[in-house]
Amino acid sequence: MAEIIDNKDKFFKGQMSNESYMLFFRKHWLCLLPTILIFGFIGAIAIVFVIIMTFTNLRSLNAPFYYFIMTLSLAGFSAYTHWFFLRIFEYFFTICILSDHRLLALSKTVYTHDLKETADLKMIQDVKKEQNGIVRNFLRYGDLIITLSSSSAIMILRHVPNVEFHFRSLMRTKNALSEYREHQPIAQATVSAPTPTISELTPAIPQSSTTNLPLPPHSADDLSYGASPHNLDEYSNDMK
Amino acid sequence: MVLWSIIIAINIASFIFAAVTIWRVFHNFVRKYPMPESKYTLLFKFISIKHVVVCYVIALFIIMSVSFALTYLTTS
Repeated sequence: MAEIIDNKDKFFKGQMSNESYMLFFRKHWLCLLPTILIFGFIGAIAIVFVIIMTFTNLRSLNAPFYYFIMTLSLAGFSAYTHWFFLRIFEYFFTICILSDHRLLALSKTVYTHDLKETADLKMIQDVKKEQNGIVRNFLRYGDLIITLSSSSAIMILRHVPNVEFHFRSLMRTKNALSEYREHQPIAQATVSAPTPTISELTPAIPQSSTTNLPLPPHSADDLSYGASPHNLDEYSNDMK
Repeated sequence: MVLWSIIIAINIASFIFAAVTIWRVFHNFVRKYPMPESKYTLLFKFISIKHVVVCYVIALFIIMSVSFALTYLTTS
């Protein structure tokens, strides 16, 4: 009896019923570090300013100019605080999702931008990993440059953390999908013999093998093209 | 009195903006993308978006408190 799995909108809006989520990642934290450091620096200046003001005889500064400066500083720092947190939210919104069918790159901000790019895995011709520089090699992040076969278009994923792992995951998923599609017509051609179902072909993945992974429990669709428990263990070892 | 009005107006505007932002964060992202987070996807391996929202609210309360305190010390 074939398992009917409905993954519609399970992990992300737009996920198809027969689409299995593999993993997702955000940009490396280093691209957010300058924003955090500058905010910390300006916050420290604001704290010093407030401390100085507290120990000053504020009643003696009862002048319109002082009121103006104080109001302007408050408005400016409030606006800067909002901008800082909007940047942090943007970092969380900008994600890349790998499923067994496609690669989705989402780039969103809270108010202004909403960009979604998708690349079908079978249309990916070539994947290039770029990790140049001491910092990038030391912190293990880099860029993934994906060439699509349909046109000369390329998709660039910048500041990918643990780029080696994500590169391998993408290639394995792509190869597994290719193998699955190659074997699909053979299974359909054997009319006389009943086609074995996915659950008959492969043993169920024990839940314990995926609990500590950044991957969710996989569906029967994953098993059909070779994401065996052995492969999942490989994923977990790669992340270490 | 004018100074108090301006300070209160700035803080009210600030909190309204924050409320709309937080609503949009939960409506447009947290609800639509219930991704399984792990230490490999969180910021600095431990900061989630909910932590950031809490820090955002705390920061606004601190700014509000400091602005009211300075205004009180100036005008009283």
